[in-house]
Amino acid sequence: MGKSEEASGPLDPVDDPPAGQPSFRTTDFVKGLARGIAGALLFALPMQMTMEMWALGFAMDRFRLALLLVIAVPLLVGIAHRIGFEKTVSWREDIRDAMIAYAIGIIASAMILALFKLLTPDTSEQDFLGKIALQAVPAGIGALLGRSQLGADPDDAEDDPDSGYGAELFMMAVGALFLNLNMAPTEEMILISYKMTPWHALATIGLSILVMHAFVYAVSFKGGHELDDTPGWHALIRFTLPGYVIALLVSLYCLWSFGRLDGSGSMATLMATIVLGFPGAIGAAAARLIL
Amino acid sequence: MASSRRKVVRRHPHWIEWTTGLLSTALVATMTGMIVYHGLTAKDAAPELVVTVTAQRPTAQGFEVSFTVFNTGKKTAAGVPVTGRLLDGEQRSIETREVTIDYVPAQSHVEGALLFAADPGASRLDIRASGYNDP
Repeated sequence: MGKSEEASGPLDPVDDPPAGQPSFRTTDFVKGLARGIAGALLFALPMQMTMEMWALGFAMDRFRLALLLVIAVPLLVGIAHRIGFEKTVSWREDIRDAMIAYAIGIIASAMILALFKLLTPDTSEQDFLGKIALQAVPAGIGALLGRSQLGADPDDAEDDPDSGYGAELFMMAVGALFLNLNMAPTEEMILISYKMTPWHALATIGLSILVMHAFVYAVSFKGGHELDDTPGWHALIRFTLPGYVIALLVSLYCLWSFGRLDGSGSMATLMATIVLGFPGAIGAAAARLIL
Repeated sequence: MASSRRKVVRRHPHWIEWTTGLLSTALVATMTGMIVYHGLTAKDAAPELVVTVTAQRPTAQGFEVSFTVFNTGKKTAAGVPVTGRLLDGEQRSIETREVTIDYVPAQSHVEGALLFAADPGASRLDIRASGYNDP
């Protein structure tokens, strides 16, 4: 706590309200919204400008789309719990922040898609809804990340050093999902898996685990983790491998959601999951450093 | 600043961390084993394409024949043209339709349909995959 008080000194004089007077600050809230929109643009534009994502808007199975939209809610609440538009203390505020982010995601997606003339008054209702709904999920995550990563407050990431094991795994899932949503819709993911031999897939597994482990424990990025006297293989088994399994599960979920696995046999499914799991693993490792 | 944000991995964690870790290790090991086994058994593999008709129905402009392409081989086939021909009693082709399937992954199946003007029920239908290339 002492750290955060001395850090938010001359740069951000409006940040800490005087004790015993928790006032609502309109400027802070508006600034938070603006950062949210900036984040939604920054993180979701690659998807809004991907052809496969437009096609999925109407081609995607409606049940799977609905499931994605429902899963997004606890996901956003969880992210908001760690990084919100404002410092949050209760789950009620987290839910509020998550829903604001979701709304920003929906509005930002609708605006951008309309700008590119992908949405016109003639677009059929299913297509219209599907396109916006699909883009709203990454845009909503982007809106929340925008608050934390574009924010200037040095104390914004409530990154207490003893964040729990569950929180660590959750952030890895978020990182993996974010990169996977970017890449899973593209045809290249399955094409790469068809080109690969099983030996290439084995090498990909090895590289994914190596990169994940090195990102967090070896290359000394800001936000990296220290081992002290704990042996490296402890961290490998307790954090890196569960993280990789999470990345694979998220990868499997994304591929299934976008209908990339329909009719595929077990080996074809496994290979595609491993291919998409590679960016997922990097995303998971990066999330542990950044978030 | 950078060091103040660093997290330290504790030496003696809660048992749940080890349980999760060991389960994950087992899962990754199983997956690796499956791929090694597949790699050893799938040498010199080639696609094996089989097309079966699943349904026929009349449409507004003719008849639709739904089919499923199975690839029972251990290699993926790309750009598979599925050709359907309606043959009369003397094996002459009345009508030929073709559709190209982007990918038929190894040991998987893909569904598609051909649209004919003539009724496929009235003549003999010959439907087959007429080629493939490597992805």
